Amino acid sequence: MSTPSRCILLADDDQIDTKAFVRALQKLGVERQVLVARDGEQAWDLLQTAPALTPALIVLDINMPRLSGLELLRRMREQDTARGTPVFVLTTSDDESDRLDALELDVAGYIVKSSLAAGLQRALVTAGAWPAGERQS
Amino acid sequence: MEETRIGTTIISTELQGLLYITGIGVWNYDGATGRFALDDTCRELFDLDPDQPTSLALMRERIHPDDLPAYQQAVQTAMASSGEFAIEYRAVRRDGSVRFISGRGRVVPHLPGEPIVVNGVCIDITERHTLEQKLKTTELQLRTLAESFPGLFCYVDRDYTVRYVSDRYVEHIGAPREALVDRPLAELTGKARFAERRSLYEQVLAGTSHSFEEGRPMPGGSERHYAITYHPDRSLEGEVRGFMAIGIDITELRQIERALQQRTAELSRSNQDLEQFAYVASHDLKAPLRAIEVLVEWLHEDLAGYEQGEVQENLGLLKQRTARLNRLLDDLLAYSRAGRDSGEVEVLDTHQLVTDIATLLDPPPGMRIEEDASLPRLLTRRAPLEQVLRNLVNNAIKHHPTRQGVIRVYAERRGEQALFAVEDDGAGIPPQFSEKVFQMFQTLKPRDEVEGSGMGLAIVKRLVELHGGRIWFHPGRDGRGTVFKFTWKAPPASAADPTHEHAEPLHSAG
Repeated sequence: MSTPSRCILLADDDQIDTKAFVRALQKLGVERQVLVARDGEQAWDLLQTAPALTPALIVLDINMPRLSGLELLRRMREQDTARGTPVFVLTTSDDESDRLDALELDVAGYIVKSSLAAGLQRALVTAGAWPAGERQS
Repeated sequence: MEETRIGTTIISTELQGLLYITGIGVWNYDGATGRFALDDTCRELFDLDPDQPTSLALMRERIHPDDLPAYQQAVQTAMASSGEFAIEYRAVRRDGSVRFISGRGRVVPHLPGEPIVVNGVCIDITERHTLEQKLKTTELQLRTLAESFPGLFCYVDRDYTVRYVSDRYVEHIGAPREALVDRPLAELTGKARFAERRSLYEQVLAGTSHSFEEGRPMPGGSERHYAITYHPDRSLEGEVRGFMAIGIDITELRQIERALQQRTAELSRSNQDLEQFAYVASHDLKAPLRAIEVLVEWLHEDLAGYEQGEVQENLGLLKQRTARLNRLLDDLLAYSRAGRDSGEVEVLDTHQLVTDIATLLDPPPGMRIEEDASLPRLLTRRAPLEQVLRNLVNNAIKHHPTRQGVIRVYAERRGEQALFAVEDDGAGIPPQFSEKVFQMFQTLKPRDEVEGSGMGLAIVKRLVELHGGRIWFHPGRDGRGTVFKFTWKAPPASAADPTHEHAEPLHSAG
């Protein structure tokens, strides 16, 4: 019996960045639902209220209002939430210190915004969600 | 025993010999005979011929006319009272030279009416007199020095008595000189300060010099600053006899110094603000610009094949302009970062560096970049020098009118600095733009013709000047093209390093 493929959770407050994300997925031919949270709190709520959701991949922007990506990650680690899901952070090419902070919080990797498609592909491979369209059991 | 008779006085040969050694001349006048007699030393002193007869009148002729009245006065007084006389005067020899003489005489006691007899001696004191004159001159010079020195002088002896106060000091204190000189130092300083300074004075009198600065409140509430030095005064034997106190008013100097410090701090603050502003502005402007670029890209993708109106052309222009703005912001960022510390000092082979730059810039097929053997190995930071050379070479390529040419990069050593030159055979730069080309956002051609932010040379100039160098340009050989030259403060990598022995000499055309 086939189950619908698990979604991707993206937390990003920037509309264009979100669109870019979706376009990059389309280009890669990935047909997965993208659940978009506009800040860290919203993402946290989604993880809490729909535990059955279990995203295949979590992608977090760093700078967001209310709760930043790193703060959310810290809370997730403290409360042992979504342990089994690989987390990637979205960074610009020169945010060296943010990347180091993210590594401390045990992220699976980072995706540089200027080469979104390539980064996203790597993230999907890491998450075991590649090649595109393959169904998770 | 042989004897010499001088008038009625008989002098033994031995005494004569002794007198000769001492340089004392003897003379005698006998009133009874009118005979005037004098020994060889006297004759010598007054320049009288040994075998010529002499007289009192002849001797007087040799006395300096200015000294004669006093001499005659002294002698007459002595005769009138059967007394003695002692006087210093000058004798002028026939060659015009002057001798200083100390003359003493005694009138032999006699009854009134009896002829008088006078015995006298003459001593040559020319040498002593010359020394005294020298001493006086030296003292005068020292005094002039002390008075003309733009500070306050005061001499204090071992007993803390003030022995000398310079005019300026007197003026400064505002009391008459008599109230200061030969008075206890405590009166000059005030008892409180004297007590406070006592141990310091003792150290100076023990032979140690002391210098310090001090602020002193002035009437009216202001304060003046003095640089004060106490210096021990030693005798020839090395004993400290007292000390010199020297004070120099440095109030204005301090004020200027303070103002300068303040100004420097303000300048560096405003410089930092400016750098910070440029950095933040360009950094924050980049984010929305990136979004615009992305949106244009999507429009371009989504409208592929759509040929209505000028949509494609306008999209192309939009893309070009956003790219230009992006480059502008990148260069502005680079400019604001130019001041920041950029890596470690390393051994840098500039010949290799230029080769790398040429490879990286990938010039069009007709352009050749020649790195001269004179390019040295230096001890310097790589990043800033690389950026300077890259920008200059890139400019030469970009602005070349025919895209067919040669760019030469060469160097020579100028003391502490290396002088680099980037020479092209392009269109050249009119000399009236010599300042303008180094300013921000300046381009000599429309941006649609040659893409550029106009920041390249501004960055180059800033980097060169931050490294203590200078940049300028002049026309190339035969008046064609442009030679950009800049100095870069960096020592050669080391004497042991392989040198480029066959380096071409620089043709410095300007």
